[in-house]
Amino acid sequence: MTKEEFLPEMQDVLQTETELTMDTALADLDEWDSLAMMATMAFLDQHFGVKVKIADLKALTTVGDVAAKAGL
Amino acid sequence: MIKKFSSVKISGMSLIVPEREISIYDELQYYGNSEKKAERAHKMAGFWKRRVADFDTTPTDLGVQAAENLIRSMNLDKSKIEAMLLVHQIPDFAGPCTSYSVHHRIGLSKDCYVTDIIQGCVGWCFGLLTAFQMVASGTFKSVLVINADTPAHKLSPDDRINAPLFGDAGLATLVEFDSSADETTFNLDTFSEGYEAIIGVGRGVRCDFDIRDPEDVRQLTEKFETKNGRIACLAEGYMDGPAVFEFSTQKAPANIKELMAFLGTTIDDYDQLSLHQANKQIIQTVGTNAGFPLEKIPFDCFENFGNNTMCSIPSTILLSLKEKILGDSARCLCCGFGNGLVVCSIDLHLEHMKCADINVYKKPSDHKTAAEWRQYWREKFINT
Repeated sequence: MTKEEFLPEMQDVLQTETELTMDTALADLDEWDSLAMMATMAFLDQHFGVKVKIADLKALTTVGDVAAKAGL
Repeated sequence: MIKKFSSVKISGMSLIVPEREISIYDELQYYGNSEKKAERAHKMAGFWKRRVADFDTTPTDLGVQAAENLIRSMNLDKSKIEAMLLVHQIPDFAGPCTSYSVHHRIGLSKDCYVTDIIQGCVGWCFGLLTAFQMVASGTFKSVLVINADTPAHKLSPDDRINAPLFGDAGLATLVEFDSSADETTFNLDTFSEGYEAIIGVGRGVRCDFDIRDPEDVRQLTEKFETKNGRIACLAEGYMDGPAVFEFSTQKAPANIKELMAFLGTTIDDYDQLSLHQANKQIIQTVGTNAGFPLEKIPFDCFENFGNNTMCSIPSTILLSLKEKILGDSARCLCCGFGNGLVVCSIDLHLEHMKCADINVYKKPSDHKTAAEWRQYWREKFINT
């Protein structure tokens, strides 16, 4: 998955209508809630084989940081 | 721990759910008072409808009715039931064993062995594992297992994290000797280092109030806000959601894969992966991590009844495979995971069952409310 492909995938994972960029601040997203964090954990695990904890996700600030966790 | 049994089968199951059905649209307060947010929670985690008992209905009310329905539907001779196991979490009274009053209410014989098994989400698997041992040993020909839990009906509406999740239910399962039964294999893993992750803090004696000190009661019932926006008190249950998510999505798939490797089975051997219905997100993550395709991982129970803890695996089977297990056969890879922390998967064949019912609870005419029970006991105390 490329960075360009990651953004719409991540938008679907979060179930948000906000068009994401790598600079989008997670804290600015209404949908960055516990459901979204758990969905992100499952997404990183299933698509990239990366296991993260909720605490790791809480420490991230932008969508680009999530992409970096995925190794993109 | 892998244990295999032969010549034992499940011959009938009867589920009871409460009459009251609550949909996400009835409790938008948990979803930011927004239909759109509620629908997002439906799509992401399966929140949809749940069945919740009245405040005065206890687990045994549901469990006894499930057993009565099973006995009627299978035309069982009550006097010949040799053993009954009651699997539950919170007793009607703090001693004796709740199974005695249930034995009395069902009208079982004095020769019937009864005992309680205190378990949570994995309670159906535990009841079966014990019943299968009793029958496989040759000591008992049949064992009636009752599972009953009401995690939902007394949850505070302030608890926006847990309140929309749970449902109440009771279930009766008959386990019997059958020399032609397919083998059943259990895989049980105990992770007791996580025992604090889901716990009923104020419902046991460790944090119990001292009857001489009213301050204790205040400490147990005083509300406070948690960092994730939950209004809680010590008398309610505690759950570390992220820890439970991480545990479930890692330990349950590993347990399932270990059982399949032991048996040499593949995904194609199973009609479905019948998982504990924690929520759709956890169900699908556990299932896909175990290598199953989404179409074999139903979440019917979570969407229709809520997370009804120890009844969720059989609820899923009864909702999605009823005709098949009655008229033909199905092979399910079941997996329960939850408070303990514990995981148990079962390679289970269900064939030509004599009962696979789902019924709605009908409150008996002599049902007493909690206040009426208090009055009943007050008079007993006074008159003794």
